[in-house]
Amino acid sequence: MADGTPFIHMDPATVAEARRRGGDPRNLEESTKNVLTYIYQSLPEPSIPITAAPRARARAAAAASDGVDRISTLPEALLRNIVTRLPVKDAARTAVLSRRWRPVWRSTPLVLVDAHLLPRNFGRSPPTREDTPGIIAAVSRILAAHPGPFRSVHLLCSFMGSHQAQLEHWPRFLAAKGVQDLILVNRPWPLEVPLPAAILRISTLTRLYIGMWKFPDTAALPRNTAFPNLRELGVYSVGMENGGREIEFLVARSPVLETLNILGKQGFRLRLESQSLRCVQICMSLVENLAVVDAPCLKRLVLYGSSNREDSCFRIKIGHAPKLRLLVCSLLF
Amino acid sequence: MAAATDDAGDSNEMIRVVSSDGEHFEMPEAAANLSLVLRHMIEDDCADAAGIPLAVVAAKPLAKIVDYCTKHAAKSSGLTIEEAEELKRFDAEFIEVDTDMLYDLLVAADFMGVEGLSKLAVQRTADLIKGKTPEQNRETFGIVNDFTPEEEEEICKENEWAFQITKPPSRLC
Repeated sequence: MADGTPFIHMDPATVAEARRRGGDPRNLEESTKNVLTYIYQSLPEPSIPITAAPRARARAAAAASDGVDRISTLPEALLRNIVTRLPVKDAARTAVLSRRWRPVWRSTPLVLVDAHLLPRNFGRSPPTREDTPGIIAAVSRILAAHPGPFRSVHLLCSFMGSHQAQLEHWPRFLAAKGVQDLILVNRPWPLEVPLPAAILRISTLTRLYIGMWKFPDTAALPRNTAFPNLRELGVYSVGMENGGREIEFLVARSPVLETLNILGKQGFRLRLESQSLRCVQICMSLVENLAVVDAPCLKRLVLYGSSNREDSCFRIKIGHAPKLRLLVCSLLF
Repeated sequence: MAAATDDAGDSNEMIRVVSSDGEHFEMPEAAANLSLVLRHMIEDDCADAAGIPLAVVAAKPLAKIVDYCTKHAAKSSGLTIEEAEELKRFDAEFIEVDTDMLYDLLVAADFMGVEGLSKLAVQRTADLIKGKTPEQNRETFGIVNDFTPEEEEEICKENEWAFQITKPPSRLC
């Protein structure tokens, strides 16, 4: 990377600190970029995928031959089905088409992917710190304005480090409007921005992925914290003070959890006890000790690109896992 | 129902359907089975030589639907990658229709319960709307703006964040 290129991920304080220690902040910048790229690639899409740019052919559509508006006579369920496949801006703009369309977006379960709020193409030009205030303002307005339910909320474009006050407001809306599929990824730096603990009180979640946060202190969470509907959980590069007990905390409170994905977790121990887990994947992590104590439904256990510390012993212990059919250990040391 | 078979592919029987404007069409039973409504009629023994009447589907869209179902039924299970790609290309060409036909297909696929086609038509409609201004969309679909200028301004203001037109994003990478 050329010296003159502006930093995207490093904040001035981290750059200054790295230089003071005689390090090259460019290396940190590069590795942050790589980790984020890996995280983005490993995240799931919304359940109804919102396709990229329309196919070139879509532009060639002929207008209604007689100028008669037929589409507006469709049943509302079909109109909602159309609107739910639109990026959020296009979806909200349908409200201004005519009186018939005005209530449609608000009565369609919300699918909000913050990449769709960027003023330009994510792939060509990733979000910068300057984009964050605009995205956050729009997200806050959408979460407040849409009456719910929230089907999918995928927020992964913002540098949340200096916007924690706004971040604290979101869980209230997400919980009140019953979000099902939630992805929250922070863009560093700083690293380890605290994840609002209130996120862990949303009981409607069926899928939760968190990335690049600091996990809340589990001791401070209410004892009755539970995820009765959570089927899929992803914990990507999340800092934990309690050496992995945080993941056990989540698993123990998720009675129907089927899939657990862990990525970029450094130096942790994991003791798995779950009556429902079917698939566990641990990638790019430093696992010290993995014990599958009791997992009667576990079919797949994958450790990919994980490595242990040179000075410690890496152990997997399989206790009760009668259905385990696939065990992959592909490790880089 | 006699000689019922679980494997639709084994049945070579042709099913007749009649459009709302009285035209007759034929398709293999496996194709007809892709329509929930036709499948139920066949199971209830309502498919006879006179043909199943489809009161709300005119001949033009029905011909397309028979085409769609015949193609998809012939390649329903155990697709190779090439076959899946070919089917995708077929779908892409199939749905490249004007907004009148698109409307007819949306209604007919919904009425007949042809799930794949319903999704295809809904997606096509969404693709046509994407990345356009409200004015462009009104023009495409012939939608009449029945708001007063004040009402329109108010709605735009409510969702101000949505009115900055941007290019649709490509996949995250």
